[in-house]
Amino acid sequence: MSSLPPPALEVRGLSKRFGAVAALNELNLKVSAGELVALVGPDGSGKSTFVEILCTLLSYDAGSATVLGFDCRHQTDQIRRRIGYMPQRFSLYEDLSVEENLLFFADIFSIDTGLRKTRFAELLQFSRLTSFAKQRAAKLSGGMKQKLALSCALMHAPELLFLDEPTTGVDPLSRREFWQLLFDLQAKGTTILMTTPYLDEAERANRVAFLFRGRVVACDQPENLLRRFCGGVIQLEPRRMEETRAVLAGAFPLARMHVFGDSLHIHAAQAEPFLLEITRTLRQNQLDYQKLEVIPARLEDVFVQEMEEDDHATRD
Amino acid sequence: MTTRPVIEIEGLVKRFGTFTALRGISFQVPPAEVFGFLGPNGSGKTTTLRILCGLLAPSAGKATVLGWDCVRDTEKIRHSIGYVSQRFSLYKDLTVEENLSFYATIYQADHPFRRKEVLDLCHLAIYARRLVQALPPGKRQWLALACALMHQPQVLFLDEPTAGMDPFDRQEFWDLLHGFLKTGTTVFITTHLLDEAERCHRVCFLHQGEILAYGSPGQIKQSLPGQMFGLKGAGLLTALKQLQQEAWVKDVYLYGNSLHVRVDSQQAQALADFAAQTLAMEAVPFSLEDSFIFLTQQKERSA
Repeated sequence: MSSLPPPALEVRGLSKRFGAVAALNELNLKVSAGELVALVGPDGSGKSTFVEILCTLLSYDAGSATVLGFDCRHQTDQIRRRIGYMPQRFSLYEDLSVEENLLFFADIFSIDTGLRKTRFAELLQFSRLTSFAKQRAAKLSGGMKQKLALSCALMHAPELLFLDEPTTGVDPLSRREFWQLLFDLQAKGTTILMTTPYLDEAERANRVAFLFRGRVVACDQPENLLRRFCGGVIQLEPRRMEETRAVLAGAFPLARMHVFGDSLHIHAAQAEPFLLEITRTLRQNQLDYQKLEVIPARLEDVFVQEMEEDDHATRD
Repeated sequence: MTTRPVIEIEGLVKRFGTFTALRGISFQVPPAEVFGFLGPNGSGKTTTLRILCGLLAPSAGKATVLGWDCVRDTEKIRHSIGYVSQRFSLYKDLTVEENLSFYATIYQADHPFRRKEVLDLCHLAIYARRLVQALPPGKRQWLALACALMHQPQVLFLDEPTAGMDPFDRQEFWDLLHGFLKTGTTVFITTHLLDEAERCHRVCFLHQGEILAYGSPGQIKQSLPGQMFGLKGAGLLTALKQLQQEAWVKDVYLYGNSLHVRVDSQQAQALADFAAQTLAMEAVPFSLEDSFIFLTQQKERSA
């Protein structure tokens, strides 16, 4: 057997308590070098706690965590030199210019004076901020601020990058640009772990880990996660929304139903038979519709399902 | 049943000094719909909202809410609408119920029966006697909404109400909004999340004070020219670089483990030929984000 390179990140049975609250509860996760993994979870699921532990900013109670082969408890210096971290809150100096912020980070990471010029030019070009170099950070748009924060986190050319909700509050165009930057980094071999509260965003990653109550309840490629989704989603476009909704809620009290504009999305354990039952119910009640079909599930649907299953498992 | 629009905006302009926030926008909002008002930060969303709520006077143009003029009839408008601003302030040292009472008193609409009704509607009944500071952060937005509902407004204005909510809460919040339509309430909501826009009946995209698109999410996606395909396989980055050079490729970007490529329908074969040797190709539906980015770039090119 050839020896595999060590994973960029390996976490086993990681637990962290804050008083009576178990923030992380025997969490396991492994990320290979060069991967882009998205960590998704509701508020309070432990996303930021987890990232802070991996960045060696927070201690943990039990389990093990290694980053680039180094132990998160005992080898913090080795880790800090090799990772980049972009925290959730904008943490740059608003009254400093773009260039001055970069300079500050170059000082912190003791980047050689000779190397600085090339590094700055590279990072400004990479983030397309060259023409804003003298602009004060406070004057930048939301998307530009995030790109500057990313550039600062990249100053020392880290092997592994941690991003905590980097695109929250960023408009779609800037968001797509930001992702392009992440893919560029990945192409150069950087491993990326990012957290996000948005599932449509997580779909862009190579793998998605669902964090719920301090544990990873599912982790896989987005397309595989979608395949795991039991059942289906039925889209119904009724002529009379309120009446239809009331009738269906009465007939199928356990089915989950969401309104999307003029359509209803109905979740079913088995889409095809349920489609027939719905058709029958609609006909019996003389409720007309424009469209009735099975549509593909979204990552959000899978997530909600996994959360509910975990709920049942914990209760049993 | 009336079909008269609840909100009518005609040639609305707003200037702040030399900066023009709104460049003569016009649109209508029909009754009992969830209307999504979308756009990046600084596109003029909040400015429009504040004009509609009678908090800001327009520089030119006309706006009416429920038939009332937004400049002359502000008192009437304010009594008939609910407004949850981005910084809706709750009193942290008061309980949930006390906050409801406080806001209802302003409208002379405080009544124990209504309080109970609103608490039930917003899934807050179990928190009624809890201090706001001890409320889970996600639930604060529900309470802000509850406060704005006490006086039974006919139109509800919500400025980015789901910011910071998790997927679960967001789903429930949207279910709740759709519930209001039963009582004839119209919901006017701003968001920059395009997956949320899918839950609206109608949306309006704002960009630098101008309207980029108006219609149902389905209509807006249909207006995007060409077809979208997903390519999968090894060497996506190389393929991306190659396709970026091709004039017949309208849009190309990485999407996780696949490459999304938009081409004119007659160029689908060219793409299939390109993919043939190494990549699997399948049709993928347009997302609202695809439309939004297309429209924004088109606008910026013409400017």
